[in-house]
Amino acid sequence: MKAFLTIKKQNDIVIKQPARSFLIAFPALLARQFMQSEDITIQSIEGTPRSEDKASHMCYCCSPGGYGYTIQMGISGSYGDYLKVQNQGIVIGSDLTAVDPDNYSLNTQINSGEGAGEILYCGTSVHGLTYEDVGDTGSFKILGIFKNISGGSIDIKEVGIYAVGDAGTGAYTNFCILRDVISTISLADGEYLEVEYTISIAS
Amino acid sequence: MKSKDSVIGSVITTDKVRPKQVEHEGEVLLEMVYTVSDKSGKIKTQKTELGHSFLQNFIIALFGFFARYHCPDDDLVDTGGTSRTGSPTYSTSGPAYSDEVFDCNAPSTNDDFGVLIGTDDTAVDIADYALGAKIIEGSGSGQMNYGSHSTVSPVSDVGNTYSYAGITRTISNNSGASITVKEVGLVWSSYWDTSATRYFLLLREVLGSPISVADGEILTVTIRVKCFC
Repeated sequence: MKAFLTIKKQNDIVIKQPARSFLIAFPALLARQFMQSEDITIQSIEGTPRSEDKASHMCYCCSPGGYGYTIQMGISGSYGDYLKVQNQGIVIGSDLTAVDPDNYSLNTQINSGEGAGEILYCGTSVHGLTYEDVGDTGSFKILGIFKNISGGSIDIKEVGIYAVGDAGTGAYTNFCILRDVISTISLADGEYLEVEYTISIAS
Repeated sequence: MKSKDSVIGSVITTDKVRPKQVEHEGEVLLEMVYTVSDKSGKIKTQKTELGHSFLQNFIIALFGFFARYHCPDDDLVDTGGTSRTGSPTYSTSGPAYSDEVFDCNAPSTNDDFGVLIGTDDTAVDIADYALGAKIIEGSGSGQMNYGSHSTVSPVSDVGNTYSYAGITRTISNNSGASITVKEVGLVWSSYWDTSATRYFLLLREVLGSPISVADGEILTVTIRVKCFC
């Protein structure tokens, strides 16, 4: 299994490269589910060790609130608030530190918002499931959209995926399952960015 | 919380069969560790192979668990070859509210799910839904006794190039004769489409070289989901 990263700015492809860095939380979440066990401890994006029992959520990373499957931009009110969450789905940051498999979050996440240094998170969707016996391949895509309305330019140097890994107690816990350091992208005021991971298998 | 994998436990023989070089930056592979021990627990052989055979069932289910509430119904093929139309919403919110996402922790003597072994070496096809020739539970001719599972705790290496975690199972040969193992699978127990339990094959690996397990010996199969970065 592997992932491929494509980033578009204003609909132009600016990065197209294999993703490098599934983090330790990903196999840990899988193993916990395989065993239905609480004996695996995983650090949440806050750096807190969590060791909950089997979970109803494993790698849930659509925008929450029931509207994540199809991204809806520009929605106001509570639905819009759901899309603006910054702890679930594709996330972006501004740090160039090399990836360590033990990373549990982006090093310097750019906050969702409209203020100085902030970029509006417009939601993450999971879509495009395909599989074919002929080519022995299968894949799906995870797409996040971001817009800079902060009034100034902002540099993006890292991207990743935050996924909800459990909800056994009714309280979601979020884990960083993938992080990539990228060539710096300067996103000017008014510009938008699409970050898409394609997860694929081939037997 | 986890350990750094600087030392692999002592073994009598260890060899990497395929691929020969670790050049898999960015990939998630299956590191399969096969250990044969005698009744006293003394290790006779240990072999490690890198595999990659995530199946169609796996990518469909994984998509579902990434999308969660927003996943349309899709078809998984159970180990009996029947297509089951369902979704992870049913799987995780069904009548038992089972939370059994990817439950592979079968108890001892259960050969319906968990880590299973077989004797067929037909090449892996992404649409495989069952082992080619599963070794069934028992002590009769050609049968083996499936043990319980245990956790492979999360590990990363000192050089920061990989991490892994996984599942392991011991399987004993008390059949009275040697048995040659050629394939390994991981089967998930689930409510996917109904309150009836379904079994879905997620992974299947054909061994690079078969393993002979003599009467009285124990085969331990470890599946590490290994992420290279």
